[in-house]
Amino acid sequence: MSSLALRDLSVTFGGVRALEGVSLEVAEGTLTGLIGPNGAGKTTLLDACTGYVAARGEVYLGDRRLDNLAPYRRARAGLVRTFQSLDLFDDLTVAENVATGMPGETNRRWWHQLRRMPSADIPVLHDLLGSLGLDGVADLLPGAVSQGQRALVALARALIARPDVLLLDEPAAGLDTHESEELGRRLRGVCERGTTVLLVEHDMGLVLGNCDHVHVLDGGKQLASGTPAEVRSDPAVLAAYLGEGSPS
Amino acid sequence: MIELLQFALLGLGAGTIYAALGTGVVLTYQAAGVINISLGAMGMYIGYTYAFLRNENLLVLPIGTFSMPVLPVWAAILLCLAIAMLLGLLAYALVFRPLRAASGLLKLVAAVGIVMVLQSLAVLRFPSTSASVPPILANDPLHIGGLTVPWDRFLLAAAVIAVAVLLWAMTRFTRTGLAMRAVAEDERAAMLLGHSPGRLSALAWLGSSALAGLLGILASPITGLDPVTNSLFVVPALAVAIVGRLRSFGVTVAAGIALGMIQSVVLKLQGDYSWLPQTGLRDVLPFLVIVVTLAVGGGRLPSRGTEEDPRLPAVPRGGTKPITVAATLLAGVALILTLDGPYRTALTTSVVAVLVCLGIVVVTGMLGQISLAQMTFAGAAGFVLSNLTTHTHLPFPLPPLIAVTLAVLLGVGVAVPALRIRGVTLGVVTLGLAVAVSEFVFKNPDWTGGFGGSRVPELRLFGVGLGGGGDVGFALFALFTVTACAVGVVWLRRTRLGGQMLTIRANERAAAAAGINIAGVKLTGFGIAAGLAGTAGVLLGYQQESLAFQNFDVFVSLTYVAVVYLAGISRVSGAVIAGLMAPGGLVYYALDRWLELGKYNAIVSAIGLLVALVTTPGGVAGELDRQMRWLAGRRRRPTVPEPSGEQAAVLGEETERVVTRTT
Ligand SMILES: Nc1ncnc2c1ncn2[C@@H]1O[C@H](COP(=O)(O)OP(=O)(O)OP(=O)(O)O)[C@@H](O)[C@H]1O
Ligand SMILES: [Mg+2]
Repeated sequence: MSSLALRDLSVTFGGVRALEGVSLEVAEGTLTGLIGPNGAGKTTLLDACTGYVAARGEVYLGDRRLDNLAPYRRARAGLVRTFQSLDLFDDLTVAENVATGMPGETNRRWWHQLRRMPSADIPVLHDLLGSLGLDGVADLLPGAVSQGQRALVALARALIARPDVLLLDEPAAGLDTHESEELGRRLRGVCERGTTVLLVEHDMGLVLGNCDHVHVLDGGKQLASGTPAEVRSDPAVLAAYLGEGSPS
Repeated sequence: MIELLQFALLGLGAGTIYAALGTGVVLTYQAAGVINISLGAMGMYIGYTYAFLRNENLLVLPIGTFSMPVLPVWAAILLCLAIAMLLGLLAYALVFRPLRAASGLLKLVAAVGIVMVLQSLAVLRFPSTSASVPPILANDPLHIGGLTVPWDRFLLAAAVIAVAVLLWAMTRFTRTGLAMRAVAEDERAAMLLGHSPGRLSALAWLGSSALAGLLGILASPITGLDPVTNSLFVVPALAVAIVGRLRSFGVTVAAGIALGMIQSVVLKLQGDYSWLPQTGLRDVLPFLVIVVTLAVGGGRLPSRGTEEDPRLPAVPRGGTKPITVAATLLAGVALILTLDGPYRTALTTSVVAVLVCLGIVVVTGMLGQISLAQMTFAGAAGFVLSNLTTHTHLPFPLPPLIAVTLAVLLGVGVAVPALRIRGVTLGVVTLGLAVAVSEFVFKNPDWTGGFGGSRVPELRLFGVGLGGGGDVGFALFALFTVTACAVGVVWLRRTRLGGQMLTIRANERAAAAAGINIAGVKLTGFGIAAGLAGTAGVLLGYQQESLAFQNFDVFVSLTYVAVVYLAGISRVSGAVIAGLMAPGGLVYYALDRWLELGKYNAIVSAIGLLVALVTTPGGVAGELDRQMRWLAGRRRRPTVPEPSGEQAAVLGEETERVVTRTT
């Protein structure tokens, strides 16, 4: 278990400043939300944390500085993410997709890579698929399951890595209200079992109902930060969401 | 100094060709999304057509030859351009239009098919005797200062610059040009705005074919005509099109002319300084241009906003069973023992070809990267083997082992650009490399046997000579070696490494998110593929007892990629089928004998390739697999294979609809 800390993170795309000097902290063991209107820079923030875009600034996982590592090294260090577009492996079955995320898969010396791929019936994988209700579709290709199930597969692939910090980009997209509530409970459970979670989400119910702490991003800058109750009543946040632009 | 300048101006001739073909490449890429490597061959074919029209007053079409009255030059040129446009339009309508939503790799393979058709047509229709083209442009020497340069160089350059300015103006100021830019940005949005991507693609094929044809005619008095050499002009053209980032006509033309001039100066320096390598130095330049441009420019070429499906044929579920391997091996042994003469030679050729194809299955089918230089790795190993066995006294396993190790290292080296470059662009890089190595190394008589070939002594195991060619001993040795390699690839597919290759093929960024070391896996995959190709090169050396650069020509590599794609690039069985179908292989030879195709063999296989690509994009192996399943399903009639997921839903709907309609 670790905390995640970002110091003065900035990203520019050509002339667009997608992120401007954002510093924020995700405290150890919390379920923290990150919200903001479309184009606020939430995905860009996750990309910057995990090394998918060139960014200035510092990224710390616990005491360890990660910002000069390649994406796969950050993942192995315990900072694992999902993608807004899910990015499942189309040629692998649901079970195989999830199995690629297993820590034993990648963290070993090279000759371990020459052993057989783990089969879908190893207990950890089986249990995880079962708990997400994916056991029935374990042998199907991702193209053959529903959008909600695909979202769960992406989540499972990240969870099975037992990350210290888990970054989720809109995991509830494609889920119905009931499934979304279920996801909230599950994420709380993940937290209790020792993973720090940063949740990017448009589903306000999910964020405000489950998170310990919420950061609000707008126009690439941090707009507000606090408990769900504080954020809910923050006038700046209301203004941003009502589309009147940030008051600054 | 003045002399260098003179040479630079002489290089305008070649530079103009690169500029024009490069412009054609940009045009077809922008409008149709095809990296059109067939433009060089188009220029070559039209050059021949013109030569025959002028020299013999014969109009030689792909089918049919007509006697013509003596035509004035301009009429002959116009007639040839009309033929070029017709051929371009046919290529679009019959091949690329049906494949418009296919992956970049499939389109590239289709373009290879077009090259093969044009080359074999040229060989078939134009006996090489009267292939010299009378000068068209005035080439009186022009004296400027102390320089003497033929006039035609300037006229050519002026013509191409004029065409580029025209194209530029068209994209800026006309509705068609605007539509073209819109289509390149975002095909779907452009369609919604009422532009027809199909019409634009057709126009681009017309335009680029005409341009290639025009230069083929105008420049052939300078370059001469040869089916292979002239087709290869497309490689420097690709290099300069990449300098123009596959977008800018102006930059492409400027780069093309500059490249031609620099090459000419290099040629001059090569003559002046005997310590410089004497062959192929200028052919290395296009490769350097490609690598430097991509390194400086960030490696990413503008992608087109098309709706094309970037995916390769699906990976088969299940994998190969031991029983299949054993049966194939037994069949191989039985065939070797029963066949004789040229059939056994063809079988041995097939067996070796399977190995090349296995390398392509690993690098493309499993890893998802495009390598058009597999025969380059084979050649590197083959020539190293030849040098080691003829110049040293190393005992048996060492020379081939060293040779294959070198091929692996070369493969890993080529993978370095693959860490940043993807898809068809990587294909272009490897194509450039293949040409550079072939011209610079394989044709250098100091390192290889040059035109005479390099000797490889007979392979002896435990004091017994295995023979070569179609001898039983060598055939069995090759079969067992190749089977061992194939089993290795089947096993690789089941390892974690194999799984990681598939994840990289499917989605690189998600693979990185799962903690997979993409660089490491890619380097390993390229190394394995190059090792397989290198082993093939070694076997080829022992089989033929002599190697020449023609064995490892880029067109051989391209042909293999095409054949493997056709056979099934995502599976090991595809490599086996491809080996049988490969030129010189068993099926190829048998068909040749039975159908008595004779000189038509090349053209028939080229057309067959195109037909198969358009009709079975999943490959022969995939199709066989489907048929087998269908058969198996029929035999167990009562237990209809259970439909899965979506399929079930669709079926459910179907039955419901049927039910409601009948009630
Ligand atoms: N690759 C890119 N190139 C250029 N601009 C980009 C790129 N990616 C994002 N942007 C811009 O950066 C800004 C932030 O985008 P980002 O995707 O991070 O927003 P987001 O908060 O995740 O939005 P959403 O809720 O829609 O997912 C946007 O203005 C977007 O247009
Ligand atoms: Mg986003």
